[in-house]
Amino acid sequence: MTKSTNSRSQNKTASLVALAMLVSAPLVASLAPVAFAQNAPRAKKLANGLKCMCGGCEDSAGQCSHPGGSFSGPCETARGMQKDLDDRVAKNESDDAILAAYVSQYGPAVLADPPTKGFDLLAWVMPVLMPILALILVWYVVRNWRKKSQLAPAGGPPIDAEFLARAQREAKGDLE
Amino acid sequence: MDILGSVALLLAFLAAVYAFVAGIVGIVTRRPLITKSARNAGMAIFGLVILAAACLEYFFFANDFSSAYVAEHSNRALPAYYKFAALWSGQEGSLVLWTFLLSMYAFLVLFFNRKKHPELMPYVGVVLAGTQVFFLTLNNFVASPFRMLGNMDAGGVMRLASISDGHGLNPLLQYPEMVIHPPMLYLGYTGFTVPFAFALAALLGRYPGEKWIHITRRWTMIAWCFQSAGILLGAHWAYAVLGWGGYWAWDPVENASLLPWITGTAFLHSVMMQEKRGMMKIWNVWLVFVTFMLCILGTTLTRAGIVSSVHAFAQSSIGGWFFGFLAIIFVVCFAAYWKNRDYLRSDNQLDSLVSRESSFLFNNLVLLAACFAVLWGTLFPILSEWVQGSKISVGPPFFNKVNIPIALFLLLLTGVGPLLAWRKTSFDALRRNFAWPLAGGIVAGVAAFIFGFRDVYSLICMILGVFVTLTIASEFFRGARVISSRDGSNIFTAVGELTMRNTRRYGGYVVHFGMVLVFIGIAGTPFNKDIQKEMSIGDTLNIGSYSILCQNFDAVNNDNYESERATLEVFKGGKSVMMLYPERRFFLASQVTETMVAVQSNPFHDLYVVYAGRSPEGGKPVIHAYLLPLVKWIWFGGIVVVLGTILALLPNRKAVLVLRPATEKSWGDAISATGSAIGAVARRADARADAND
Repeated sequence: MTKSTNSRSQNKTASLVALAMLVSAPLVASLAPVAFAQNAPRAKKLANGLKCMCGGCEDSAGQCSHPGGSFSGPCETARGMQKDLDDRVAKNESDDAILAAYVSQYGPAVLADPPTKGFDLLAWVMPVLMPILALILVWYVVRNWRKKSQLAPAGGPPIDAEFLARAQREAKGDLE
Repeated sequence: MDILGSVALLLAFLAAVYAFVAGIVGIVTRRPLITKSARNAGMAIFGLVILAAACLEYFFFANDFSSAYVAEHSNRALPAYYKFAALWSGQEGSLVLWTFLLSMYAFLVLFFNRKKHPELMPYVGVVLAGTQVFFLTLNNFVASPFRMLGNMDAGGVMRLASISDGHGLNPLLQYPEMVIHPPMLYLGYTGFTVPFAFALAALLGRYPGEKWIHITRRWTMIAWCFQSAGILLGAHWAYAVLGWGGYWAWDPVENASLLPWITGTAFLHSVMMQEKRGMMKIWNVWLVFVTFMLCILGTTLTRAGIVSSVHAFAQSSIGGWFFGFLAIIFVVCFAAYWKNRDYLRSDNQLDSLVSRESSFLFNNLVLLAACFAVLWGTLFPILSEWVQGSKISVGPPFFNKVNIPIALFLLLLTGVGPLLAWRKTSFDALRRNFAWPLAGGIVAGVAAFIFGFRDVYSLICMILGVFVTLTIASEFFRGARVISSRDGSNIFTAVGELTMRNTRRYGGYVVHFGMVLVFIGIAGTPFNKDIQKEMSIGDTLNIGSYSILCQNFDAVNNDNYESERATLEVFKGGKSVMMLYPERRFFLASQVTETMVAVQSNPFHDLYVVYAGRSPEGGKPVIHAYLLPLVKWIWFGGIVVVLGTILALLPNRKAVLVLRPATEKSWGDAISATGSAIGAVARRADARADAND
């Protein structure tokens, strides 16, 4: 009796453990150590475009190396991001959807590139706009230069007397 | 010794203040004796700063850890050369290095010009002294390197205290490049003070003509050369030490060093417009001003902690001082310009859009666009946070997208510019000069495509690289052929003769060629490969055509660090080709671990292996291997750039007229000789025009 009760109790415990394992498997998997799997090329590209959000480095998730750390490779956060990107790419999520998910989780600072909307659009516009403005300025300056040049008196620049004498001397020398 | 050092720094400060004030008094009262005494005070600063720096070095070599700076940045087991370099490893010492190099430049300028340019030099002395006053203020009153550790005794008296050993030098700095990289970079930063001082002095004193440019040309090139070498050494340090397989991350401190280099490069080109044609005077003066201001901004960014960086080893709240100094410089420069702007009127006008002048204009425009893009990207996160309240990142992808097209356009101009003549270039000349280089570039592009260069930018870079190389080669060849036909020497001797007759021009071409090599090296980046793997003894890792076998892990220890070393055998095509020994060093004093990368380099690629450490999960050693194409070209290109600059600094050799042996001439010979003489004159005219370039 006692044995039977114990046996039932053990079976019940085992079932509960099995159920708990089943339910918690995805959670455990997400916390489990991440293997050094290679990312898919698209996932790698995405990882290079996202910052590692560990707070202890300025690297991208794809190139996190933590010099001076106990492990000089991608930190746990970066590896987690790499794994997540691999998974999302395997599920065929689009780049935009993946990036949007990261922005909603971490904010725009997770993107290695500035956003292309609102005030941050200026980051992209100015490096293009400024050379154009400079080009217009150069064009204006050159036009002014050329106008003045057309008004300048005719005739070439004065010939350097020393050069002229030397050329004549050489010519004479060659003829002798 | 701390008192001696402190007194030396204080006297140097007083000498700088005297040189500044007496210099102004000398200019206003026009009394030569005061001017001379101001100059002597300016030169004395150097001796005093040498004394202060020597005192600080003494503390390092004597392992005197009663000095707070030495206790913080050194330890007994530190090798002697790193003790020497530890002087500039922190805020206070690096400011001493800055002052030391600045006072050295000031001494050399004042000494070598002590009997020259009496109207200009007093102003130069004042500007140099003013700059030194600022840095010596920091050395004396803000970041003194001679603070000592002390304890209050029972009687309330402060007694010197010492610790048994220091905290050690930052392990990231314990690498050979760090002994020479910071001095090189600082020689660049401080060197730009010289053209700045002359430009401001010429403007303030309304010094006539382009003389200030002739005087400072070599100084500017020296500063530019050091800046180039410093940047490349820094890139090599990042490559060899940080263990991420890269050399440039568009880090704010890297960008800060690049900014004055870009404007300095623009100045070196546009200055020729002023020398040859008396044009772009306002532009040149402002380029020098901006270059100097960017040097100060660079060190501000490094030290103020405004932007985070892996290169910033000396951060503090000193930024306010630098911003104040920047504001003063700007106000002085603008006031000097506004008051004397009529002095900067151009002498000549542009004759044609297809000319050397317009190519310089475009060159400057593109360089300034690159400078703005880098500065904008570096500072935009701060601006964005200030405006929006939220932080954003501006990382390498942004800088690459913005700067690669600009850089490629600049590379194109490097090829086009030298082929255009001053004033005007005819269509025939264009066709003649460009046909072969362009064809060569296209052929190279096709070949690169066939060999797998499928990245658009890399392919364009290859085409332009070959195009520019061929234009440079054709310039050498055309000039050498003229010399060879005149004196009968072979073409190689003639190339040497040609180069030495106009070192500035042909040294400049060598610099351009060096930059082409750097660009080609960078073009390999899109083809980088890497793999990371947990490895036990006997495991193999494959990358490219290499197979890496893990043979052993052992320990290599000394007083400074304990190292865990991997022994890896590299196979190619089944044959053992090399052994690699990447390490992880645990530095005892600072209790920090660093990687020592193992690199096997050849002209095609670098096999770059990092022992990243033990896996945080499984505890197994992790090896990260990279295959990085064409990296060696970058370092080689850097050496060529430096050699080209040195060549351009050499004085020109005077051409020797070689006469043909006298022979009896017939009338026919005489007629033929007349023709050849006219040809010779024409060639000489060409050569003269070339020499003027």
